[in-house]
Amino acid sequence: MASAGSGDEKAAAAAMITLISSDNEKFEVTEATATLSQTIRHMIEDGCTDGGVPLPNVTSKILARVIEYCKKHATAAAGEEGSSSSFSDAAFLEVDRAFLEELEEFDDAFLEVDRATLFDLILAANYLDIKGLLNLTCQKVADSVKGKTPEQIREMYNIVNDLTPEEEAEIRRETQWAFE
Amino acid sequence: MKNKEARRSSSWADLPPELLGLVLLRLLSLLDRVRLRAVCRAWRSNARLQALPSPLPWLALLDGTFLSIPDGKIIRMPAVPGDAFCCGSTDSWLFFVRSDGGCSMVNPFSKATLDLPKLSIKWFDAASPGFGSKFRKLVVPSPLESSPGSLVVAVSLDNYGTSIGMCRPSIATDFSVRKLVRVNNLLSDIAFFNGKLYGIGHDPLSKLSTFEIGLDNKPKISVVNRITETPRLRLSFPHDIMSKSNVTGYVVKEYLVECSGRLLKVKRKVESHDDNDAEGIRTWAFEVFEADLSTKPGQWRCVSDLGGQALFVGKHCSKSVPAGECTGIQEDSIYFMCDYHRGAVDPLHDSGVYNMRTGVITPLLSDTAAVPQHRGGQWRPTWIFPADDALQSTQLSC
Repeated sequence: MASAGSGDEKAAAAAMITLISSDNEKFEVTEATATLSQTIRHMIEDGCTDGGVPLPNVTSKILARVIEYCKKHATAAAGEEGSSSSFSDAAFLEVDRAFLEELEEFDDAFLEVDRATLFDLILAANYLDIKGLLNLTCQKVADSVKGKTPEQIREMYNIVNDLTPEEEAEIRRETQWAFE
Repeated sequence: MKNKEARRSSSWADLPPELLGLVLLRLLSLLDRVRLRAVCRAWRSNARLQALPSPLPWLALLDGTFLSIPDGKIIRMPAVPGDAFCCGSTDSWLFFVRSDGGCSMVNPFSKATLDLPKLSIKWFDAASPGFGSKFRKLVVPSPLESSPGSLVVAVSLDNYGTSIGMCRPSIATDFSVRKLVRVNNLLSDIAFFNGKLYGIGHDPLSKLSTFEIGLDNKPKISVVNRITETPRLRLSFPHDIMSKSNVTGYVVKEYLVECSGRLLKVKRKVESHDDNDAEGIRTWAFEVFEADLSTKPGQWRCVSDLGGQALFVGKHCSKSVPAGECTGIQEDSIYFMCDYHRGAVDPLHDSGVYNMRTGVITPLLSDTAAVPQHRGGQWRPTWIFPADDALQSTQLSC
């Protein structure tokens, strides 16, 4: 790993990208971190990242969190690539499992955010096309609504019930069993 | 933080449809999907845009409630006709028999009802405890919602052998199969495959027969034996089960089920006990055979996987469904329950998921699910596959 891993890291470290949030804050990240976003990867491929990448849909607060996620997952990916070339299969599996466990712990801690931040993270993951982060955040929402009533979901996500009495009656008529 | 969230209170309702869709894709229970759609107007209309895999199947319990598999939620459906009991099912339709012998098919999701003409099948037997316990299975050649005038075929076992009843909304006919297939060949299961009705017998030779059905003017039925050989079983009876003091051997129960264009015979091996201890009896293995009808006569060929599908088997309904991570159903696995007692035995008592790749049996319900307390009842245990009305024809098979 020492030779292969650090070689990859050196190559990645050579290329730095500047991301600019909607509130004009600049973030320097490695290309390996930035390219977890398919949107940015395409911009790099098209050669239009000189002078920084403006991200008018993402605030600095959210962009910092997104970069934190990408850094962690990019490091894990680089570590895996490095290890596969220089470890025996058994050792590789061991390293692989350790990485996965560490990543899972990181992801769990990463999701400990308020509902407003979670919402912004979903939108940012979608806009930046970061598949892993989008899966993670959508799964968090899905898990949080399982077994909950519509009223509990509204309370949890601060949603106003704007259904008309007629619509509510229609829903009850069609699927009364789901509200018993 | 609370104030900050309150300021943006409309934001979650404005979640773009494709992102709401990603959340819905992760809700495998129909209950959760229906509740999510009832949160607000935007979610109600946006949720309809996402194509979704079929929701998790349910097991109809004896007391008339439904158990969602594998999350273990109990669902109560009010759409049950007054004095009727569920004796079987097909897809998302339940088959009800009333105490006066009248029958109907009810789809509790769309609320569609299909009254069936009376058959001469005996639904009651003073000697056996369960309601409709003579009834075995009801099958249809194509989904009922797409062909409401479809043929419906029912099989029952009475003291004189097997009866096959067939009906359309205007026609009803009963046949005693014993006359047709001679010898003591009671049918153990039937299934439609490529538009034809197939049946397997109870006898050790376990023939596969085709029933040619004519319903044009005068209903008629004729039998052609398609496979007459016995498939060779591969698994031997494990020593650790044999060494249990009261185990005398095992019995084989068979199911016939269509799966991805193949007609499969599923052999389920259940311990037999010398003391007839219903509570202690367990299933220990399955073997699956595919009907190869390209030769005459045809042959049973052993199969070791289900091509990524899963089977739900039961005396009153068997079905193959797409499996895999996005469906919540284990691939190449057989879901089974206790369907072989006539009395009010808990359908979960000998139930599980048999993984064909590993040969391991795991519980039907996930670790976190609470196992429901068994309450007796008059219903027969059967699988039902909820239809998500909002999906209409956009269901994914993944």
